Amino acid sequence: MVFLTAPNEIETSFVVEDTNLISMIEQNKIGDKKTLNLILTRHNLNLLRDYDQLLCLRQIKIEKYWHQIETVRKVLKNFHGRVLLCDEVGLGKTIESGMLILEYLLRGLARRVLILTPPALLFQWQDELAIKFGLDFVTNEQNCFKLAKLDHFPLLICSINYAKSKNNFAKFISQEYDLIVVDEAHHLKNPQTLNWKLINSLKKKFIFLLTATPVQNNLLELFNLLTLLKPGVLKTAKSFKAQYMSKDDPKQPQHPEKLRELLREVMIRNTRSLVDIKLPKRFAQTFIVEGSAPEMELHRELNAFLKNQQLDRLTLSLCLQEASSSPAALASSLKKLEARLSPVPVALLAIQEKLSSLKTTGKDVKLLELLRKSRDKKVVFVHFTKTLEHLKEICQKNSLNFVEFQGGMSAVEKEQAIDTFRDKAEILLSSESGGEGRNLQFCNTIINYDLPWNPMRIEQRIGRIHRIGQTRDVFVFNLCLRGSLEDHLLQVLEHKINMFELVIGEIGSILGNLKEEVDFSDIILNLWLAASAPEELETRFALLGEELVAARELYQETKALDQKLFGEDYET
Amino acid sequence: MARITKLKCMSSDILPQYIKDLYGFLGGYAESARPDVLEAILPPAISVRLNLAEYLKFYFDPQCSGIDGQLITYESDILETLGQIINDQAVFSQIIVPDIYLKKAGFETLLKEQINFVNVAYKLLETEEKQGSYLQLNFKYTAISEEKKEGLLALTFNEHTFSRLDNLAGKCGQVDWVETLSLSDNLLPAAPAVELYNRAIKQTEVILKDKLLDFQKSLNHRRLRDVKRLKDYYGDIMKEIKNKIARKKLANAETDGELARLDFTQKELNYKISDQKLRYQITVKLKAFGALRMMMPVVALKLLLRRKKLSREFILIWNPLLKTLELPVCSCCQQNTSHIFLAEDTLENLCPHCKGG
Repeated sequence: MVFLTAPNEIETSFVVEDTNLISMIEQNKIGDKKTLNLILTRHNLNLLRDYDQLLCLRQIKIEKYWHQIETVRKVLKNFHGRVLLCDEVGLGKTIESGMLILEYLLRGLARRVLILTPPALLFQWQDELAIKFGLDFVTNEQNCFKLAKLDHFPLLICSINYAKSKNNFAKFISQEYDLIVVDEAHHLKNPQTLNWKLINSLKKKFIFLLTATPVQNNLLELFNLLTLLKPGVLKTAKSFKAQYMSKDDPKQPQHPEKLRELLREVMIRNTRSLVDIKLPKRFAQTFIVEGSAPEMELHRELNAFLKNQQLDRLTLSLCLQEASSSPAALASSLKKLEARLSPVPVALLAIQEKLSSLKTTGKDVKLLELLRKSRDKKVVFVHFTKTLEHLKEICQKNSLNFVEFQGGMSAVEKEQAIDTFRDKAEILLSSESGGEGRNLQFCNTIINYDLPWNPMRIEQRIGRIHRIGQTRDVFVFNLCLRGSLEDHLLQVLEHKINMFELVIGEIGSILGNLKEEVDFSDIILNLWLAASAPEELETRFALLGEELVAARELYQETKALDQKLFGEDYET
Repeated sequence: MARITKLKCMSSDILPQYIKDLYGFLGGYAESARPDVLEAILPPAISVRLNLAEYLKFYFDPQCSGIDGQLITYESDILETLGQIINDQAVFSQIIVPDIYLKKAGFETLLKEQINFVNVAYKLLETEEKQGSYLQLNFKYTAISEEKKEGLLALTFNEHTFSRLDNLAGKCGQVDWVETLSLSDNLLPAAPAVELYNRAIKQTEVILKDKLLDFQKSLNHRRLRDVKRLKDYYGDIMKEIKNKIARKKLANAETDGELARLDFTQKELNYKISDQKLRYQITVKLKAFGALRMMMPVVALKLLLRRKKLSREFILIWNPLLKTLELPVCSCCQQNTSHIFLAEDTLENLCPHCKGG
């Protein structure tokens, strides 16, 4: 029997194999249930053995896509756990890695897992693995790690800089790991670097190297990556050059198809065209709000006060971000600060006084205008719980149909909140934490009431609705106060690198090209600390803008080169 | 840290019991010497047949160290060796729930809520406690093309009404089942097994059409890529021949020769393209390897359906595990439907889709 014979499609025929089961039923030849269960288990085990059935799928609560599941199967079955994962940006390399780690743990193939990332990505990895996969990894930044021995934590995320440092290199290479994951693996392109030497020296059974751009300047970089995966298989750099590289141009392969054949044994690269993912357009608009005179005065005074105090970076960063978020968020931190300082500075009391009399801000007015403009569903993102409460009050006062979603809620409450938003409410007031991986594609508008300083966090917010399954154009509205740090930040992100037009995931690749290997929020705070006047802050942000432009150009050049090398239809 | 112990490989949950059962089936014996460790003995004849030692010690968690035995994971070859004896076996088994709570009243409301009587007037004639029987058929499918994809499917049918209740298996743990060799009294008449089997095959095709869609799409993508490469390659050759004819102003005989070459190239391209079709076509092999008959008390609702001057009796079942009415079946497509729409002449029930056709 043949079915599915549409033109241009693959013909599928159906063969029913003989079975004596029917005669058994008709003749009432009854066997015991234990044997039936045994046979069923046997078939299930066969599927597991051949990786047709994956254990991780039942444990993961997020939506999984077919190309991700296939990648996991291929890594297990064809690549035997040593692979270069080079999916185009935004197709879920981290998800694939999480699924793979879980699968290896559940199958008992791995027990000790080490993830090495650039320092800025430590917490993102930790969050994603915890929220999406239920895996509690420890990072080298946590106190518990600093106090314990290296082999105490079987699941560890480390910054590669930490692991390769003079004090730690020898400690790490004396360990035995079952599985090592290296994110942004293009940083391993040079065998003379400590990065490369570290990965080369680590004892490991399985290794996943993750990068969207395996080749940046020279095909030899690919040789260096592949040597980490399959040492010796490509013989020497000299023979690789002779066999695969064009003599005139180190970026050009001598025989592209031959190179691809080789790569099919070690590299998986899913592309948008291959997995047939087309996302709708995205439109962003930023509203720079003019604050009232008292509001602007308050911000000036707060800036001056924070500059004059010898406060730690964490407090400074918190106060500045809260001030930009809402008076409610700032008030609670200032209260705590008041308790810490003795004597309490008069300026602080004056700021608190002004803060208590500020009931509505320019952003509140604009937000209400946006919320009332249409009855379409909207997600309003905030960074601080106090701001969320402030917005709840506004919505209640104005009889708006909203529902709240925040990290402190139980799993059931979160589920109910999303259901209510889908079925009844027009507005979802959401804090960042806890919503990862939940389907919000039924909504196509987000409002950033405040803005995290790390662009990757902004991208995560957008990614909640601009993802596979979204069928309508997506609208992003940003609110910020004129002259605030966020105003400067948006100028740079929007006008210099068109952040809101980038594909999800690209911002990470661009930031990865910056010279400074620290969290982007730290860069922002450094700019604020270094600037003695608003004009100077502007100049410093302009310089950051230029660095970002250069980083974006580098990323685009690399992307174009990789597309040319591997094509749109690279498939293992 | 708490999670890690939970993530202790899953093989240590499933495999020890499987090996115990398998040894039992083979006439051997396996017992836990300590948690996560099994000591197992095979009968000599089986041990020779499988080329395995009579006495073996297994452990299942790679974290256990210092054990003098074999580590068993899902990938272990010994599972394949031990399992080969039951590879091609099929088993039919039968279980029963002796007693279960049955709904006594409120069926009129249920009928109104769950069934849409479209072109028919109905009357509930009587409700009766009967024994219902359900047949679960287990299939293994293997889709073979340039690569292979395998999976399992289980379809469950009411043997009297043909209603498909795949969610019934998930509810089975709620009650205590007893194995039985005989059919229970008061059983609603069951359709011949072959008829259920044929229905299952037909419905499996529909299920697999959906299940294998992504597999098929991926293969099709590769096929189109390969076809494009062929067309590019042969296209270039044909272009060269055409250019040669135009450029060199060949004599008639030579032109004929080139035209023949052109024709041959086109034919070769067509042949290669059809070759690709063959290469990527999918053959799905389907084999039933297990059947389980589940018998339980049910409530049979006898309805009188009246369409114009004609009428017929119709049975609907209230299922005590699902706590709902089982859906009637469309006589045409054999799928469950919440509608009752009777065909004019035969009074057969049709779903909205089939009545439209």
